[in-house]
Amino acid sequence: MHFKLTTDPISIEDATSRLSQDGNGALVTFSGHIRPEDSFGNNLSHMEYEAYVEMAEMELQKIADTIEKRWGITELVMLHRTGRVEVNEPSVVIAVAAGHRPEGFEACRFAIDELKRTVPLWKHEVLAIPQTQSE
Amino acid sequence: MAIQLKLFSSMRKAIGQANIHWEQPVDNAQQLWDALLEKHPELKPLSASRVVAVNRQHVEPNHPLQDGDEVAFFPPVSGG
Repeated sequence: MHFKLTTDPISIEDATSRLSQDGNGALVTFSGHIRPEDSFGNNLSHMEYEAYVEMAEMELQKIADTIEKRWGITELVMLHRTGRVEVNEPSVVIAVAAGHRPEGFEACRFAIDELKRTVPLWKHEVLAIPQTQSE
Repeated sequence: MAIQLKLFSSMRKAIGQANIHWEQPVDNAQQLWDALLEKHPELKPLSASRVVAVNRQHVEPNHPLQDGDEVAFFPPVSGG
């Protein structure tokens, strides 16, 4: 299993390249991307992510431990951006290699749901400054 | 008593500090929060949604504190 908080861009390919498909029939991935608008319809310039890094790494390890215990899955990658993330870029990527698709989907869903529930990360929306009309 | 106090997100922004070296004696995390509110009443609107971690573990507010603990207060997490 592998997890990382990083200021560098992340991708599904980054995550899957770290997994072994040896004996695994299912590869399930999830990536969450920055939407171009906030919940009020305002245009976003970008997103800023803040982390309590030391605790976040411990919480990610707990998620990985639970997945291994519950589904017997050890081929798991969780990547999350910190700092500035541009619109449409992925802020989080999760990849799971499993024997079969049911446990693969379940483990991947569990990983993202738990990450959003327990890992100390915070997003801060930065709105785009409306362009002033030229005369 | 020496506690390393950490504040994140809206709490950090509210008082403009991320780290505080705390020496005033307190028994538990709730007492620490209450004492912090006396010094920084601007944190009060954030009390209801406050989350507590001690030594990087989620805990209840009545969690007892010891010398050398790392205590963090933060709003609900919003990663993903």
